Amino acid sequence: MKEIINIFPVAMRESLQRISWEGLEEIRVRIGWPAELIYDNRSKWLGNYDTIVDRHGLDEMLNYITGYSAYAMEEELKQGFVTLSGGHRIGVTGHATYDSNGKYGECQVTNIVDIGGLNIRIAHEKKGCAKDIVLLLRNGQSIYNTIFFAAPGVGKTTYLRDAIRILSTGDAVFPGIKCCVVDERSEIAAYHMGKPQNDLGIRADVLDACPKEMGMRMVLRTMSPQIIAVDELGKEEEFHMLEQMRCSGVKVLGTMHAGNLNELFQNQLVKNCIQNGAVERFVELVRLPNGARTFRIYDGQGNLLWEK
Amino acid sequence: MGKVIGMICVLGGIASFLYSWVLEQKKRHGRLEELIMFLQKSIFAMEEEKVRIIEYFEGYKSRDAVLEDTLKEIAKRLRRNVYPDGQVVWEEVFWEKKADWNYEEETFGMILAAGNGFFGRKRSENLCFLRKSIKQLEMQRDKSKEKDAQERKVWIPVGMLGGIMLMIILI
Repeated sequence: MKEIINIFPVAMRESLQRISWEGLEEIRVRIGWPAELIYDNRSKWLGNYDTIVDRHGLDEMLNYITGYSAYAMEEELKQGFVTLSGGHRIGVTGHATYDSNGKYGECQVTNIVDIGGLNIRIAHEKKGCAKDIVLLLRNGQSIYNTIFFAAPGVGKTTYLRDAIRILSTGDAVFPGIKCCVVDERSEIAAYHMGKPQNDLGIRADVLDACPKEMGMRMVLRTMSPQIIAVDELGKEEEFHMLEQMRCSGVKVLGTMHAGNLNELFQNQLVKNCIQNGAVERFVELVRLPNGARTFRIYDGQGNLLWEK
Repeated sequence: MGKVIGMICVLGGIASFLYSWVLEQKKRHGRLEELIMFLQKSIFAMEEEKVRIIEYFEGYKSRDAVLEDTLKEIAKRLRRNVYPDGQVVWEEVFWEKKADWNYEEETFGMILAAGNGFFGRKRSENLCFLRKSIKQLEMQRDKSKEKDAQERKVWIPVGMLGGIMLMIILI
């Protein structure tokens, strides 16, 4: 966890050396408050009032996070996050500036200034967590078109990442499959300076920082994928691409935010996918009170097939 | 015979002193030229390539070893992630290597200020600083070249005449 400790102000590093890193999911930093440590099922404050981060402390952190090159990370800061070496992601909040000259007149964030808070999400590659799920998603030599869904913070991306790794690596029974990952927010592969920080297996190709709809189109044309994996589906054009994939023989692995199946099925875009059969399996990830995860698998109509 | 050898030694010594003085002047100008070129390339690197400072400084190749060493040292200190502000590192390293850079206060001050062109939050701010620094350093370079040329016009003949007079005295 050296790469995380080294982005904190020098005065706070000693306190961070003494914390327990087991099960630590996030560290939240806010100006004027001590840093908050969020574990599986609890949270606590870091140290005493000597660990309160002020404006200078946050500026210092930004210098360490960006390698003294904040100007080079304007695009990432506009998106509201930065990826660290090791695959850790830092969400950024502050005062957003925007203009309304985007496509269709929508607002586009041009910058985040006066940064007032950081959310450091600790990357935990949990190899093997999706092993049972992948076995149940197999359809011959490939898989069913699948969407993982859960509330934020449960681990959709972690499971998606592990599923990609298992599928692309293969095993004694199932050969590895060509997986193309359209990683719009650099969460799956966590590209840092041109190198993926997470293990996606030997047959995974990553298109980093590309809008999903455009990326799916590009990889479909040029990379002859057997599976395309995307994170956080939400826009109409992305679901439209799912329908196109169905007709192209390429399978899709994706994730969505939804607290439960009912919430998911209230989404009109999902309803359209169900009607035209674009999604064949839904995997619900659930966080138990003790912090462990479990899952349920539904077919394309919402019938429960498997529960762990 | 001894007098002839003595004359040659005296003249040779003065000539080589003057030559090394002129060479030192040229080296200083060359170093400043390399620094100006580095700042100009940095503008391109920032605008087109969005380079990161540490890797850029570490990998920069220059004909001037002093500039290369200075940049590598700055990158090495920045990598440690213990300095809240990059400009502090820039100034610290240049102060430590002041003897190698060997410029008068005004020029050295401009070199120290040029660091602001790398550590600002926004690209436009950095580029503005860099362009301003380049202009100032170019003016300083031209002034210094003129001043040195004037000095050479005076001291080379004076040096040679002095050498000849010394020879005559010794003879």
